[in-house]
Amino acid sequence: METEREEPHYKPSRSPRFFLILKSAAILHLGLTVCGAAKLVPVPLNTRVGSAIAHYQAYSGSGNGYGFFAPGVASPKRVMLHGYHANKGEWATTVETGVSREIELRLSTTAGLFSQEKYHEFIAASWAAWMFGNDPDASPVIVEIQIYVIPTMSEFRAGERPQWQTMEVFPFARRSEDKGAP
Amino acid sequence: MPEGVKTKVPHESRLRSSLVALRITLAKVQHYIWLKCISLQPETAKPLAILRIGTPCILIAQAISVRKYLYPLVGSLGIIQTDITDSLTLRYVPRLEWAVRIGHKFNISEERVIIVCFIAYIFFLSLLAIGWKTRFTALFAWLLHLSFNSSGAASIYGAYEFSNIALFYCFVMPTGSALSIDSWLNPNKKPHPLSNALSRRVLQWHMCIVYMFSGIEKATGRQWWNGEAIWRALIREDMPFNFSWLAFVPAIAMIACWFTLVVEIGYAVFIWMPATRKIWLALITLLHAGIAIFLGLWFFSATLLTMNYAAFYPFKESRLINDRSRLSMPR
Repeated sequence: METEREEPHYKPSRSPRFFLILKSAAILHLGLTVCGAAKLVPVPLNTRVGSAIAHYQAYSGSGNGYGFFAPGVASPKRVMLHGYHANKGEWATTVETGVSREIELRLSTTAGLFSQEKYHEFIAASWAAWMFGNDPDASPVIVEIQIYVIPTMSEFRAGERPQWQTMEVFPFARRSEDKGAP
Repeated sequence: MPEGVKTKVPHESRLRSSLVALRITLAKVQHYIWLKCISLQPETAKPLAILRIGTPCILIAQAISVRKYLYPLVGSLGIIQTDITDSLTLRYVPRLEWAVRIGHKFNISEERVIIVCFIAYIFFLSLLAIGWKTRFTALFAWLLHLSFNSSGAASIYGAYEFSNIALFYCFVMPTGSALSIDSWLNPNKKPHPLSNALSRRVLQWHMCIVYMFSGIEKATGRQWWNGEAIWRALIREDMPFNFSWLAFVPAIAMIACWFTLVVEIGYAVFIWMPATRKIWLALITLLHAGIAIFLGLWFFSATLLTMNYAAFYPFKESRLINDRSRLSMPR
């Protein structure tokens, strides 16, 4: 005698209204995703509704933009830290590198923040503070931002080569000290 | 009418019949779009399980690769200090600082709190991967991931943003209903097939939005038309291969750029058609394989491929209830 195959038990039928709410939420979420991709702000951020929507977008990731390497590929940047050691009378240069590819990527992303001018001095100060913390003898510290200038293909064929060039330099010193540096 | 006498169809009749044909074609296209792209067909939870298993595995590997540099990346006195990272994130988005403040009340140092959060993050990701108490573990994995993202906001890139999206979907969607301990312990309890379908449809449309906007934004830049974009991406100092020869064969760079534009912009159209779906999945796999191998963006590519396959890979439906009389769900 054949035994009947047991049908899987589905969750109790939801009301049509429940699925309508689900579908509406899905459409709203996708709408916000489109707004994020198009860099549109649906409601001004200085309103409560706008702030709530922005927070939802941050939580869910629907506020992300997708302009990777767009409209063009930016030149890579790196941060070089020059610290003066008064006791040795010499400068020590550090380029922060990672032990893995993933760490390298994250460090280069941090350096990439220098593309936004409003963050320049703050990011540089942050790097300097990092060096002050890691190297107690270093003062002053010069944060040098370098950009990897890439020639076009035709310029490369003509003999130009990519090279690191200094973009900006920020000097920092410890507040309470007056260590003279050459 | 005698034979051989040609009749001239009046212009108005030709115009009318053209309009009728156009309306029929538009109606067919509309019906096709509705059927393939919008309407919900009963689905199993297997595709969503791919998302649930793939995402945490990738994130665990990613977390392990940065474990030795954790504090500099996310600590309050790391490379980019809290004041700056706070300005990059919204006020009520979770961050490690919240846990650190609680830890200070119990005299636990910031470094220890970060390590505890890191271990908890890997723990919940592991549970999510095996599908035990899926919604609960997805919630904590997602919030911890968000906390690490916020605290390291200055250094995160696209892979972390997509992982956040994937974890959010792991939480809100019924991703624990197949290939999981939850489904093994409760074999008779399954979400409704239309819940699976709605979830997968959201993921599908999200992927289309991603690639369409990515492709369009690239297309607005001249570099992506003359091949300079690929050249500039590959000639970097930290690239594993030497691509200086590309300058002498610029056509290859140009073709690679156009390939990227075609695959990304065409994704939103061709991924829906059964005849081209597998082809487009193969093309997008090729694109992301190239990104991984030549640009070293392994985790980014792996995350996106997981989302692509969860969204669009045509799984053979094992057993679906197609009898709509048993389903009282509206379409």
